[in-house]
Amino acid sequence: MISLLVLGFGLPVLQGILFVRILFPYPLRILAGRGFNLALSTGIGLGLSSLLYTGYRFFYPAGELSGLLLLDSIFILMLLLIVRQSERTPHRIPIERYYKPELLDAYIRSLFVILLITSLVVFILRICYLPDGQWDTFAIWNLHARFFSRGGDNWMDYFNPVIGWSHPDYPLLISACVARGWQFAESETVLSPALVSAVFTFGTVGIVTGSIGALRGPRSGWMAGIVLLGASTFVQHGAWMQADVPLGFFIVAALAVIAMIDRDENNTRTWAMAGLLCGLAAWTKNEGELFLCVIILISICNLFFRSGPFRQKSIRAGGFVFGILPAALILVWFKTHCQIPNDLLEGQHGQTLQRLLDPARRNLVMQFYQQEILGFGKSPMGIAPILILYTALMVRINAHRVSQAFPAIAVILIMLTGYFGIYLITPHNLYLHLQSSLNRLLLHLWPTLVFAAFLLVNDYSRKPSPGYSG
Amino acid sequence: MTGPVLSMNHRFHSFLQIIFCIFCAVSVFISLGVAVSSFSHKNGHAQSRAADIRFSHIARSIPKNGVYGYISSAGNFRVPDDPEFVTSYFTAQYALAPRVLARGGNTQKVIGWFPGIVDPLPLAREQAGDVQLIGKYGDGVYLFQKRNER
Repeated sequence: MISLLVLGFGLPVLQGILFVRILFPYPLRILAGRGFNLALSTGIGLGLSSLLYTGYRFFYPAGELSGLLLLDSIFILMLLLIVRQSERTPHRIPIERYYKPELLDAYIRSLFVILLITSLVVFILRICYLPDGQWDTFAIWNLHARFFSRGGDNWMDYFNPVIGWSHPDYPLLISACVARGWQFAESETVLSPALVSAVFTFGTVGIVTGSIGALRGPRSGWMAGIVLLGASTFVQHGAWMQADVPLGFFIVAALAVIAMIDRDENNTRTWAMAGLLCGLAAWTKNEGELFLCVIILISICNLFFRSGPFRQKSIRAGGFVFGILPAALILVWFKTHCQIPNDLLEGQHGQTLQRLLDPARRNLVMQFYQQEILGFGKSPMGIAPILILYTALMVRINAHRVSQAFPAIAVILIMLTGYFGIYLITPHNLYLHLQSSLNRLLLHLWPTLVFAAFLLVNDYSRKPSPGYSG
Repeated sequence: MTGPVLSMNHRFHSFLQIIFCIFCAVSVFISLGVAVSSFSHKNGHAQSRAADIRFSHIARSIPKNGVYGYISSAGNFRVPDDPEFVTSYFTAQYALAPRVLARGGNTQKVIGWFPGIVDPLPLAREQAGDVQLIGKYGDGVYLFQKRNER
């Protein structure tokens, strides 16, 4: 069973590594940068495998393992051919040169390693305590995975309004990855959802640490990793094997890639990868669709308001849209087949405006926002306000930094506003809705907040003049 | 003056970094403590795994597709959000997938869970109407069928 499960996860990881090799020609020679590449490859690999698996089950609902293996092998062969033929000219990321490492850098790096190992232990203990995760895990994500893995020709039976409470309209990235693992292992082992969750939880740490390390220097990178892990709800939710941490992974990965290629005007391939990551965010959770809309809006603003030749910007935008397509096509197919109306939209009954303008609702949402943001992380005290205070004390603004951090900050602000609006119009009991979901929604944006904050702060271990380093 | 000022700034910022790192480390170690203490208590996973075991016999006996009703003596079935009933229903659906379980007895066949009840028929009729018992699977699990639709 274990060897088959390893094969089930090894093939997507290999696909991800090849994919990243083709689309991300930035050699990140620092240690954290290698972690970034590994995290990106693994996350993209799982995302692509879920798209392939869902597509395969659409055309061959019975979904035999032999067919899946054949499909995986053909895909890997295609990627290998492209890798061989594609010119691999290394691009460079504009980063700032460092001072020689101080003793403090070594301490911070050691602390990061200790906290990473501790968080891994916490993750494993929590999985052992709740192998089927929390309520939503078995009522939504793993339930859909069971329909996938047990249902054969009838796997789409759960597109049925009588179990509308299980949200059949939720995208399938997590459920497809879990079901794929179960199908390879020929058993409904807890290792499959646990591995998927571990990839995205610790992959997020790799993305944040690696991208900040590459863009702002190793000390900032390790510190960003420490702060990310410092919100204990992050690892806790990761171990519950739901879709919130994976969505946070794709959001921050897309924004990190966009920040890295901010000034590289000639790299359409990597813009396609950024598009793919945004598409995969939409394929993870309905909130990812909001993120996709926000990032498209930001890209359109970039296209018209940012300096540079319009033709070049259009080519980049084209690459970005091309990257979104695979996930978008599968998502459109899924939404047209699963004609279960979204509970939030269906329950409006013409009361949207009334709810939107109700001051009592607005006050309640404001009160919850304040409470949850101030207490976010369930640390001795909330970690998000401390991060914002730290950023305010350490910030060093210049045009380059602002340009890199702008998409992440815009995403955080627009998505928080979007979530606010959705709460205002929710047809469910507002208090219970806020109580049961707001902390998870904030979790989507936590890695992005850490990423944006560390793009703006100065870690005072660098020479002030910007330079270029591989 | 620039040199000492920069150096003081550097020390201040290094101090801030150390304080922030210690705060985060404390937070991670507290979460380790919580995880260890909850792990040493009873397994929190009992409900869904127990439902898997409870419904394993009936799952082997009925077709793998179709819509079944679900009734139970757990909690109060008349209250839409009764936590005990909802938990039993959700875990039953999880255990019996890929069959679809509709809450209540508005289907031709109805699965019932009546733990510790010797004669479940009166309770089943109260929840699902005119049904008759057609299968017993142990652990309080029964299969009913609408009498007039047999």
